[in-house]
Amino acid sequence: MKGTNLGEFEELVLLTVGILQEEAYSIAIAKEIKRVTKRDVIFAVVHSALNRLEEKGYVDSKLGGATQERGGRSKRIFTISAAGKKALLRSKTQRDALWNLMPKVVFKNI
Amino acid sequence: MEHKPPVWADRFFAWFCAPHLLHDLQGDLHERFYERLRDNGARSARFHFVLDVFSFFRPYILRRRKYGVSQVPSRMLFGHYLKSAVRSMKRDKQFLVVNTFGLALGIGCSLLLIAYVYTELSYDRYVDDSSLVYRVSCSTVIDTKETQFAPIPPAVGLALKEALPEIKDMARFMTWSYTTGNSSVSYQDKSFYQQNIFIADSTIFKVITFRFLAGNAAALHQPDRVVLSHTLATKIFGPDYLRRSDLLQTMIRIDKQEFAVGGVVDDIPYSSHWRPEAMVGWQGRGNDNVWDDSHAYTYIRVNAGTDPHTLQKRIGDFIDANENIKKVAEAFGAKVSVFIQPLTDIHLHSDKMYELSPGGSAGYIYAFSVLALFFLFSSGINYTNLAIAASAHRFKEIGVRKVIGALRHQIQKQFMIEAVLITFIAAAIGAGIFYLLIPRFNQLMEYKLDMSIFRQGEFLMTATGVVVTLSLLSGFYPAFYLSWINPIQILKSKFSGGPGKAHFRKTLLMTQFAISAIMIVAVLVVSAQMRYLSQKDLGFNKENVMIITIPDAYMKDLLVLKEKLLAVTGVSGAAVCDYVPGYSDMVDEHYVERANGEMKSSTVSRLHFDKDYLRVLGLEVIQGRNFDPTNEADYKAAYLVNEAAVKAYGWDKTPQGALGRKIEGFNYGKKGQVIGVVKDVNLFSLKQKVAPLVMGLTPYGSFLYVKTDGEHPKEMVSRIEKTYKAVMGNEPLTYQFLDERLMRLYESDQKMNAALVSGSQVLIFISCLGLFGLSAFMVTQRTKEIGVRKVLGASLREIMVLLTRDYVRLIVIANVVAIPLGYLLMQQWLKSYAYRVDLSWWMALVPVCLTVLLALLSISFQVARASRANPVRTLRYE
Repeated sequence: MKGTNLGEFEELVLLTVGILQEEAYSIAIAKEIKRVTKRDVIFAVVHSALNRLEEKGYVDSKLGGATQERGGRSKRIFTISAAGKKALLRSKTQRDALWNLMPKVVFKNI
Repeated sequence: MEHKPPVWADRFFAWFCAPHLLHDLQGDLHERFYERLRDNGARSARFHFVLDVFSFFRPYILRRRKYGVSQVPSRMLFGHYLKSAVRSMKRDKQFLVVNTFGLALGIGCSLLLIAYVYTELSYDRYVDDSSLVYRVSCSTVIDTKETQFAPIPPAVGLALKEALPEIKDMARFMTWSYTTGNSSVSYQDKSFYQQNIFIADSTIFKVITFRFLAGNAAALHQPDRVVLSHTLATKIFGPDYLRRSDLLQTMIRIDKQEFAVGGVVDDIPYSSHWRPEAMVGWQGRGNDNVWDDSHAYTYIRVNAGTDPHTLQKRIGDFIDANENIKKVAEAFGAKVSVFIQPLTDIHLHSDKMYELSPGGSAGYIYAFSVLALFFLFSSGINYTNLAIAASAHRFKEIGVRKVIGALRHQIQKQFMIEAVLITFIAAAIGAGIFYLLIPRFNQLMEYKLDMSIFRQGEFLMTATGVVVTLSLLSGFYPAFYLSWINPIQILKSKFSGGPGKAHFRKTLLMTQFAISAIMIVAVLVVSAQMRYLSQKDLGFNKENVMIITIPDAYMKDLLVLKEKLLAVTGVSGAAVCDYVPGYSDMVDEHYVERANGEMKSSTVSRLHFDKDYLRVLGLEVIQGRNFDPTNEADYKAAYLVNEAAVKAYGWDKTPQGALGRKIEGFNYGKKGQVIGVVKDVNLFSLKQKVAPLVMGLTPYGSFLYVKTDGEHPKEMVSRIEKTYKAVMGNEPLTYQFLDERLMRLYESDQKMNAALVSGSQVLIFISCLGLFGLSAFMVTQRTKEIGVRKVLGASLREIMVLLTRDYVRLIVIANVVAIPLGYLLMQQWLKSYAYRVDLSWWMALVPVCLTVLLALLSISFQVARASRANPVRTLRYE
């Protein structure tokens, strides 16, 4: 297994999977990230991140409903796993800890 | 819906995408396409679809061909494949033995040939930076007739070294003994004859690489020092000579001159065109001012980066401008040129006058490479045919494997692994065969191969490459053939042997027998020519003539010896000559009077002999008279010529004729007239037409031809030896027989013949081995058919004909293709002889009969067994 740390983009994807719940399949995830972050996400990059997250065990996937547009092919629905949740929390705790150490003066003029 | 995603991009995606990712990902892509179609229109949707497809071209998406979904990693299967290979080998020992042995034989023989070719190609490459070393040689052109000489006049090398700065070092050497090459070496009371003693510049160690075991490169600076080879030093002082503290002061004698040992060098590798056993210094022996006699072998080492073409041009310009050369060229009436040739080209591509060793032949390199290929090809075909044949027992195994879920490429891999395994076992045995064959090969080819060649990296790599390629090529077809098998058919027992016609296998078999037929043709033609050469009437008496070599130091006793030998019982004549066939070509510059009376120079062969020579060899004087030894003038001013010379100089077209024509020998300073014409005979190689020859009278010569009555040759030799020792103060007798000596002229072709004969035997054996295995397969396949035929009343004979007919037809077709090809090839070879045997039509029948007969013999065992079998049993087969 590759390293278990969470990349920045991976973290975004993982959060979105959590947000979308039952609707979390690759296209919806890509749209949501784009909507929230205003970043121009490439679909293949999202898919590759999901693939990596699955390899790391942070998300689980199962095949879901199919539509006519998809040519009868089912969607792959992602759900965030326990390990994924822990990883998100760990990441958040680390950042909060760092924010708490940040001197107020740094952000004084913003 | 009107619009669809671009089909090609969709297909492309489906092709490269790993199967486990394909299903939902393709759905995603389509969904995005239709969404875009709605929002942005068809063009944009199509464009972005293609963009999406290409953006997915990422490593994790790509299909891994080797590992499908849910497959056992092949690492784990590898052990299983090995195990099942070993098991199937154990079950089918006949296949294993026949196949491994065939492969091993093929590998062993071809390795031997590859080793030979490798050695020939690596000649002189032992020299450090051998690409920087060149030999300087020269040529003369007189009347458009060019003669090339390996050595050059000694002054030329010296002048070139002074004039051209790109020549880093220059070294010359010449032979110590001018006449026979034999010199007597003695130390204390030990004395023997030694060849290959040279007089060399001290710079030789800078040009050619030597490794000193004792002493150093300064040894040749002093004129009274000799540098010995390891072999010669061992011969003189015994094996422990290096432990002697006084080694470097020890005195030895070479032809009665005293030398102190100045150094010992390690033996030069076998693959060297120059193999000196002893060298003494040039200073005081060589003459640096000689411009007109080519006797110094001259080698140069140039500075790195020197372009040979530029150097050649600079040398050419220098020679053209040189006053001394101009004088010589004028005196000869010749155009003299000097050129350089790379050291590594000498062995294979140089055939000049006075070469240091008979060169190899590029033609034989090709021939042997082809032969090696034939061996590999034939044993590879054997493997392929036999592997398919033997797999008849394994169809069920393959069927079950496939049902359980083995993929095609896994079956292929399994059989490839088996092929590689068997080939490597065969290669190990082949190395053993190589080892066993070396002595026989060395004896046949008079060569020096040994196992140490396996220590040469390049050779080892080539050998491994050959074995790997062989295993892949021969395993390829069985693996593919077997992986195509349909499991349903097999398990329902409907399938008994794949595509019934088996064209491919038949073609392979035909190729194999075509190769054998070509080999048989080659053997027939070469041995017919060899027989022709030994039986051809050369126009003189070559039987029962013994040639005694007279050492230079005992030349004065020659006449006494001749007298004494004539008194020995059984000796009917003795004659002195300075030539034996094949020893060296006696070519010299002469001024010869032409038909119109003009004196012009000409490079012709010459002989010197005494008055008895013509009688001993049975040569006829057809015009004029033989030499008269009592006439003093005959020694100084008389020449005999042969008919070819009369024609060549146009004398036969003038009323004056040949007699009285003037000839001057340039190098030996003799001016004389033609006193007689001798009938044309083939004193030299039959590869050339009889060439012009001039003959002079001399009382002395290095060779004594003794004509005997041919009875009890052993006693004869011992009687002659006794007389010889009595006269020559117990010197050892060196002798040879004229007819054997003449056959030595065709040495390389005789070696070729010997190699061909042995090679073709092995090749045919391999082919028959393959046929033997294949017939076993065929017979099992047709067991039921034979049974039914017998029940219906077919006779034994009919069944045997039925079973053999196919093979005989194949082999006859193979012969029809191969024989003309073989004859065309051999016709090319025959062209190297001026006198050649006529090929007769029956020679075409021999390969046909031989191959058919051998093939029948090798399948007869299986055929007989099958046709005798009781039909009740065979029909109960299932």
